[in-house]
Amino acid sequence: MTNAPPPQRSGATGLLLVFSITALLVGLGFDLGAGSRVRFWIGDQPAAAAAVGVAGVLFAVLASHAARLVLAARSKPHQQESSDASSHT
Amino acid sequence: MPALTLNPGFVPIIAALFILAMPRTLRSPMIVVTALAAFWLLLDHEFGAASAMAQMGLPVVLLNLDELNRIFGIALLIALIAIGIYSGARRNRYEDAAILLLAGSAVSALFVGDLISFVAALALGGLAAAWVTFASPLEGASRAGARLLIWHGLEGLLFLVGVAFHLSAGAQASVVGRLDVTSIGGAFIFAALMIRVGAPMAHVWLKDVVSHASPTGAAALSAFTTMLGVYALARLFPSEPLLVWIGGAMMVIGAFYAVAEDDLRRAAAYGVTVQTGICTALVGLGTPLALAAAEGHGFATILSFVALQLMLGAVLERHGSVLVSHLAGVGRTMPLSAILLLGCGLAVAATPGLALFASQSASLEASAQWDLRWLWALIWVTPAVMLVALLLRPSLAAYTPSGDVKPIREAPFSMLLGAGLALFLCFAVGLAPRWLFDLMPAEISFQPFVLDRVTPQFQLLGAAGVAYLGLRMVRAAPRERGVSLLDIDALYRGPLTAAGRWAGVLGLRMYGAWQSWTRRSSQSAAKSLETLANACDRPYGSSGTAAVTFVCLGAVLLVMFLVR
Amino acid sequence: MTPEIALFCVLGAPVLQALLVMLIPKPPGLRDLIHIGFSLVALGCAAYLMNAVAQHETARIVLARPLPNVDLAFAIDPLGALMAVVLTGLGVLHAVHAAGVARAKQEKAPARLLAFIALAMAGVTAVAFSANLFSLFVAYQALALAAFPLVAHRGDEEAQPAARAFLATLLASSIGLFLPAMIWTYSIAGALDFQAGGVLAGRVDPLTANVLLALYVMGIAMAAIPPMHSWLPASSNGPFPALVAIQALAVLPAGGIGVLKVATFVFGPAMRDAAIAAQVLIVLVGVGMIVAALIALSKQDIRERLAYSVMAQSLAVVMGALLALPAGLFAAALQIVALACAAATLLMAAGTTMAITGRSKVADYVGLGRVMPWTFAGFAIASASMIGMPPFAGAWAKLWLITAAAGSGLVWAAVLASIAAILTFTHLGPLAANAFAGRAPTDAFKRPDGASILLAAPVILAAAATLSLLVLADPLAVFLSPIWTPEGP
Repeated sequence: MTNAPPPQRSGATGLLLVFSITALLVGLGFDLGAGSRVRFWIGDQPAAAAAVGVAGVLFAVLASHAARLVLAARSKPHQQESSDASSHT
Repeated sequence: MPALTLNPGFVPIIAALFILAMPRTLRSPMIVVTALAAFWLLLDHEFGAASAMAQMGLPVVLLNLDELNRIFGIALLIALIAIGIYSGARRNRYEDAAILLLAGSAVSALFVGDLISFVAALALGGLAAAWVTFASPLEGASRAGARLLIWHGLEGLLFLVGVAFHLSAGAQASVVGRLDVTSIGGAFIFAALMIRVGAPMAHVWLKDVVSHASPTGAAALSAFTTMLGVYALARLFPSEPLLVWIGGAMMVIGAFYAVAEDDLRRAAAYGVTVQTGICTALVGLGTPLALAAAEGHGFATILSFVALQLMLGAVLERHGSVLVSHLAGVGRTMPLSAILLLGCGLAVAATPGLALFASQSASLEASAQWDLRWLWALIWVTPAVMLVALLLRPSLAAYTPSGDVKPIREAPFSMLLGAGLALFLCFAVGLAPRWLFDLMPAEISFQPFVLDRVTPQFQLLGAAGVAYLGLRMVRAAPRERGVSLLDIDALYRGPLTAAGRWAGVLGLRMYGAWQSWTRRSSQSAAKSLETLANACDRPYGSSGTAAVTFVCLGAVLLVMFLVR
Repeated sequence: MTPEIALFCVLGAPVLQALLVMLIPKPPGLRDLIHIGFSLVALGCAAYLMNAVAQHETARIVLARPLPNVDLAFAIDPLGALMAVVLTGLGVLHAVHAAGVARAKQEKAPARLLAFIALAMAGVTAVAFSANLFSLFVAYQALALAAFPLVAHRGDEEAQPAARAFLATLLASSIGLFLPAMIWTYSIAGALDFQAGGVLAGRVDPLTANVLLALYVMGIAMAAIPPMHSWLPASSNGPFPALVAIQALAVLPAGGIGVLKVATFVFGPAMRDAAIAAQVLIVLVGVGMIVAALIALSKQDIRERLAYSVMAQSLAVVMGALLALPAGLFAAALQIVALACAAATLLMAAGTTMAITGRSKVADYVGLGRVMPWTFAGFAIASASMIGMPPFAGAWAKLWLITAAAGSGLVWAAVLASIAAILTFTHLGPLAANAFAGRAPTDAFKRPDGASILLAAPVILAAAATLSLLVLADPLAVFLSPIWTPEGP
């Protein structure tokens, strides 16, 4: 973590947020109102799809945090020089 | 007419030889014409196998057309058309030839009817893929190509051994039909296909070559390699239970890396791994609906990810990098590309109206079995993860203001046209999926555009978008930094190779000791024989060899007389 | 032109070629022209003979008759005709290549080199066309004696002990093991002729069959069976044209042809009686393949590495011949063809590299493929064939070998062959890949104009030959089938 200033807000955030909220409201509306859901197991619960979407995002964020913590290569030049099976045999 | 029994895949292979001699302006049209010619050959045939020739006593069926390979063939040839249009933007004749060879061998492998030709076509495809990587101008490409050769070489050898054992069980078993994993031959072929399809432990080669290939090459490598493995699994190992677990593991591993990778082309390659995992798991399920869904999903994956790779390549060409951490300002300097990139992200995230949604719904339907509900849940959550990895992250980064004002430098027109065509076809198939379902083997009475399916998907994607953007706003989502992630190939290249070297040095020392011991003992034996020969019979000289000769002769004659 | 005349020509033309080349050593252009011209004549005669065999004609010439029922005779049969065509065809390419190398490297006494190469080709053609064990034996000795000056060509203190080891191993094993076996066979069967059903079939008890098989296989040291293999690495210090002749075109294939002829024509169905010895020998050969491939991995000089690599492939021929099924014999025949093409290409490519850049260490090959693309394309294709990668020739030979091994119940033999293939990949694959993958060296060429067409074209043409087996394998199977399906008693 460096002491760089926080990154700028992206210009597309607002637009993407609008589209996402619209999609969510459309989906929730039909789900809670007309009962159109995926008819299997947990999908049959109201707003199940939204919950699954949020769960997916949580997985994504946690995974990327974990990956960057655990699996980040030490330094790029070092990895370039690491010998692989095809060198000089 | 004999020409009509030509395997469509041979047309690009022959064209690959000619394209080496073509001038620059003709090469891109030639690729497109080749793809169209192969398309015509494909659609002109009726189902059935061409007459089998005999090759070394085995039947070689060069053309066997049915619904399974027709659907994959159409997808690959459409991809070739898009890549052909796209390739007009740069000059690299070796890469053009290599891409044609790769596409040709992939399509040939789809349509041959016996194992021997199948293995030959796959091996040729592996070599062509390495050539595509070698022809890339990027840094580190040649080493990535050499690594690919090792993976594909291993795969080819496993195939060969598997086919040999399979043949030894009965030569009539050469025509492509269902194999058994528990037999030796079947096990070897299964292992080879695991490498080809990108099973865990062997999934690293795709992301390796895609991140080092040129823009055109990356799209070709993404389309023409792993899906052949899915086709082969559907032919040879349908309803094999192992595949369900392997597919599930591929989905998890691919998703894990796709959301964290900084290099977007590499993230897209991991995305292909995720979708291939879905296809593999469905093949493992084995019901007719599952197999049909697997093929449809393969079709949609090829189209969507070719579009995405082409678009990423266009950004790479103009902007110089597709690292998410360096993508700031692209929305301003390349507006059309950024919008198309957004569109491709929608395609990959299975938005309703695009191809992947139709096949995704079919896959959900097919995997809706109670004892496999974990698989169903994984398939259901995949679009949310792909949305984050391949739409939200790139778009947010692209539209981040970069501070300085730069002029608009849009991607080359051919690139935009090729990628746009692929994206347009994703929309076309997505909005009229009946065309896709009519191509599938089983009679699928499946309607993806039912309210019960469309609105939950909107809900899912919308909720995912809101959640991610919300996390971004409270700075809980990770910042995009230039980080390179280790995968299992760091183990293969680092500690495993060092262990192999150490074992080799040890072996050399032992061999040297053995050699000097044998030399010493043979010398002393020769000397003693020499003195014996000298003592026995002086005129015959001091060569130990002569003594040995005569002793052998005498001993054999003696034995002969005794045994007689 | 009758088949008899063609047979005479194909055996006699190389001898005449050797004489003329020795008599007309200068100007070099004329000498090379004679060499290449006579090679073409030999190829033409061999092709004619192959055609004759395909038409079911027979021909037999007798040069001498020392004993009743034992004559020095040469006859045409499918196996011999096929091998002769392949080897003389590659011999033409090799003649062109040798001309190029002799020019580029200023090799000493090139006329003598070319003459003995011609004599070696005569020897292997004689082995291929031999009609009985006695002719095989005589041709074998002649070949060993003709190849000896090739090993000793340079005359320095490396060459002389190597040449002595070469000759000693080959002659000692043939006289000490092969000759007694031959005599024993004569005493059992009353004749030494090669018969399609096997001379010993039905006439020999298991103990004798086992001992005879061991004697024959060990006696044909040209097939490089351990422990008789030491001539092969010893010969790897000679000049490159000699290497090609010895390892790829004459001596090693002669060993393979000899073992194959013995297994097919002398033993035939009697191989089943000799099953114990066959299995022991297969173990020996299988382990030998793996060890040879491992040793090749440790060698840093390209000539030594290729010598051990070629040895591993030749042992695959022996393994195929020892499996008593027709599939095994077919695999062995295919492997001889594939090995000849691939080994010739590899050695010619290495010779070209040595002549143009002076490099012979594996570590120096990195990146050379970018400055010598045609030569290394041939090298890469031939490596793929040696490893057994489809769609090149070696793959189909290995396919049949593993199929035959698994089919005769010896699954462990199939496993040994597969391990050897993987090990061959480790010592040839990265070498070929790095030649293209590495950065191009800037100071590679000793001569500014690079490789002449004489040096590069044979490499590419021989590499193209390794692709041919994909389409030719079935006609070859039909062509060779009379060998293991005798028409009558």
